[in-house]
Amino acid sequence: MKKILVHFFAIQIAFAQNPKGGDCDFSINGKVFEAEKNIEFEAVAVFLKELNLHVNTDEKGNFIFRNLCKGDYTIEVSYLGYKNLSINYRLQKSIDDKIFLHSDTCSLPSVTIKGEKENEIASLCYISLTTKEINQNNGQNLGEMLRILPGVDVLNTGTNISKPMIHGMSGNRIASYSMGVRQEGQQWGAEHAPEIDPFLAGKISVIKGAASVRYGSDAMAGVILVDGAEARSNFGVGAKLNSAFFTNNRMNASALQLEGRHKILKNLAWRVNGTFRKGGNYQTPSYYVGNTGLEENNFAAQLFYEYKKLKLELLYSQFNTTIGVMKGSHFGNIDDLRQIISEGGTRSQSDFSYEIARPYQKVFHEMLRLKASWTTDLGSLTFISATQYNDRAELDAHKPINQEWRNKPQLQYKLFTFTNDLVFEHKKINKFHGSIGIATIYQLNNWDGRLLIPFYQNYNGGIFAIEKYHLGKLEFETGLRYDFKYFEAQFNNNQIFEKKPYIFQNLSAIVGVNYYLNEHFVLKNNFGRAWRAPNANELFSNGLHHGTASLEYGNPNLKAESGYKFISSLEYKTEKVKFEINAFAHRIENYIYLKPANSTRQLINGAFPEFNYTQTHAFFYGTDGNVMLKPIKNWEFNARYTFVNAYDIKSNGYLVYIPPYNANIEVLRNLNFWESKNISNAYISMRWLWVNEQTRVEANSDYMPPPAAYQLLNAQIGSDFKWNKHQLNISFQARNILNTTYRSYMNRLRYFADEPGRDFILRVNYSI
Amino acid sequence: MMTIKKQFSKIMIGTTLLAIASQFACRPIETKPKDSGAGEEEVITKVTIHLTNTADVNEHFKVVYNDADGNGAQLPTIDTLKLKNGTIYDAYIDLFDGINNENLTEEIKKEGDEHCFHYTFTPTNSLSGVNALTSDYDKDEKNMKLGLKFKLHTATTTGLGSFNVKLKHFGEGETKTENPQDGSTDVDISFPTQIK
Repeated sequence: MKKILVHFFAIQIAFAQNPKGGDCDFSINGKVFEAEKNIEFEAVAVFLKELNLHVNTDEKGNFIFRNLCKGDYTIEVSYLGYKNLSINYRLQKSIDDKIFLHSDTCSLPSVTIKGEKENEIASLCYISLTTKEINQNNGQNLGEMLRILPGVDVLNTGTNISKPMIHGMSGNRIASYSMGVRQEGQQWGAEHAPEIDPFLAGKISVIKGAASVRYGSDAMAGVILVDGAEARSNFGVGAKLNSAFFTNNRMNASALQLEGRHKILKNLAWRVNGTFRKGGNYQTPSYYVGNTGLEENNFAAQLFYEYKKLKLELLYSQFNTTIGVMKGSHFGNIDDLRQIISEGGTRSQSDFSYEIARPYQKVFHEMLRLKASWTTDLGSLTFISATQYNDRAELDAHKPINQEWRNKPQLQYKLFTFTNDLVFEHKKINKFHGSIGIATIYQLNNWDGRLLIPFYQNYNGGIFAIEKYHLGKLEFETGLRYDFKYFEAQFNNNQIFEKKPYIFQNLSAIVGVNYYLNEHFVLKNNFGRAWRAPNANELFSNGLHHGTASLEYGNPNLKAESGYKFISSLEYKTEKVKFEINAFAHRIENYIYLKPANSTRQLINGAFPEFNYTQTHAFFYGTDGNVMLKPIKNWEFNARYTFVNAYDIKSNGYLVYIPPYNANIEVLRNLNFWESKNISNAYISMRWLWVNEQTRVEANSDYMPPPAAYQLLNAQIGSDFKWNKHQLNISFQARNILNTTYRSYMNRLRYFADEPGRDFILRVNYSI
Repeated sequence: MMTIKKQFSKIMIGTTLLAIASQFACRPIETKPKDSGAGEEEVITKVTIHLTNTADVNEHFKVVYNDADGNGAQLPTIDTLKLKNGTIYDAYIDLFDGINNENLTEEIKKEGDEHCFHYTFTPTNSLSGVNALTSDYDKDEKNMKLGLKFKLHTATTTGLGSFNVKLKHFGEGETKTENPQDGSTDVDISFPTQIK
């Protein structure tokens, strides 16, 4: 595929050097303002009637239709809660125009305040990375990008495996949706990160709250949504190149996107993406850590087709990654682990290298997706059908002695998933607005190497309805869903096949009330019930887990977990002050966890502690929030915090791997004295991060006490540059400026090495 | 210029479709589970130590540590090592994978520079302990201690104790040492021992 990408790029450069001439080289350049506040209006839908082209305005309210021929055109500008506007142009030359949208006084208060498309579950807290935040964090994996959001933490295995956590839960207690499709990898493992390329995303957001009603089982604590960008609306070919260079592990992460639409097939648009990431051993303040490199190559191709009210999207994406697992973190038995800890991390020390040796993980994920949406007078109907194939291979530090098996993985899982979703969103009838849908999943999982997760087939069906009702300043919302799951594991003992079937049925529900106090204030309350069925590993694990030197035993009689989460959020938004504060309480019945058996077992390779999958009731509560202040011109202050607590109710003890309290404050100065026709959005910023020690752990429950609290200092400077059609965004970031030595409680490899020291990152985003 | 552009659009759309079609071939996924007994990985299930009295070559015997189901729930069977006091034995160790039915000793020998055996008697230097030691280990290609073959010496005192056998493994990027604390543990077993 790399070959093809290079080929595309060569052609693109040829075009850039040969500007087109003729009568079809005009453009309509517009800028949309919110009329009452006179501020730039983002995400407004602009429709060019004659060519059936849709675009949305950018952060600055700008939109552009390029390569237009002479003639008459009509543009329709619309935004929920605002009066639609229709403007006629007679194009003789390119036009620049300012457009003011006036609010529709009878409209929903939620829309005028939020300034966003209405969320599917209005009473839940949605939070997205802004374009600026995405640009500032490019080159990192999804988990690391998401962790800047309040309420989101990550569970790391080393520096390259990051599992996102929402309100203290990760893996199968949150759901991930990539390009509208439920991501199905092997989420159950603590060292399995989501196989999603953030470079592919047009929008990355997180829902905090029990959202099973809309997103199916597993969405107990929340949902991660990675959505694709809309199709290119204007004619021609565009290119986008994002590159990031990291000094600490000498990583280069680059992504190229090409997209186009042509007049001869004006209803068809295409887009291709290629991503490359390669990094070597990372560096703590005093040494390099062995075998911590990664290599990732991703590819995606998309076709978009619009015909009247029908929209079709075909997507193929592929994710390939090879991740080194830290040297010295794989060991024989529990005595080895104690010995390594007592040495203080000397075994992981190494020189710099890009080479990835055993132990390592190699993960392949691909998806083929068809999305069809049809807009009628009654509402819109969306159908998404997708197949996913996930192939995860783990190679242990210990190479097999047998020559035949030498290069084969010790653990391999292959998971095939076929999902179908049909959702109908009806238009407002009286004061009701909502959606109904059905979702089905078929899965087949097989294994190779050592048996850890058995062969299984999984059939799921769900049906849901969500309705909203507006009454003055109040908005009521309720939703109900029924899910049915047939899960059948199969074992082969000497060609005797044994089937173990399970049936799970469950109801999920939400009740929400939003109160729109005035145009600035909104108070949201949501109570949700969500569930998840036990995973194959929780039911059937039987034996040694090498990564932790423990013997883990599943329990085939586990029941499904069900949770009740209440989340309340207060949002306030003016130009100078913006804040959003959440508080949540979450009770989970039959919470599944690994309980130490307080005994060790003697195997031929030594003594191993035993753990059993057990159920209890758990209680999580906490608060998170972000505050933005612009007290003085050109100065901006941002503060964020996440506080999560979790208890095992039955034993009245603490749960493990709950993120410690953390907060960060950013001070930003706009460098507007640099601004000119070509330079905009220049800024310099400093961020202070604080992570407390995790004090809420059971005494003597771990091989090492939780690491101490730490503080880090980061700084960043950046700006946008623009000339003709070229747009360039350059930023330079310094992380851990003071080269602080620290370890993180949320890193599963904290026993073996320190976290990275100082890192300088140069990011260049170019588009045409 | 326009024709190139037209062509380019066609090429792009065509390639995209082709890429999708070609990539989405049938994936290699079996629809039946494989046998859960056989794993493509060694599991040492049996360790045998063969001993011969250097003073009397006809006196040879073995002790066996056998954990037939590997990491499974079944308990191992362990022989007692019965030694004569004031004796020197020639000894060698044999490792067997009963799950895949494969002898591992030869392979360990081939990869001598990744392995090292350590033998310890406890308690020693006490009146009722097992006062014995091992020596004369065979070497790997780099002339470092391997320990598949060794000599076992018992003192004139008699007593009870245990004999611990450790096999240390050094993976990719690790340097072999003869320090029993280094490397990761492949075997760590103890035989009850008596010296009469």
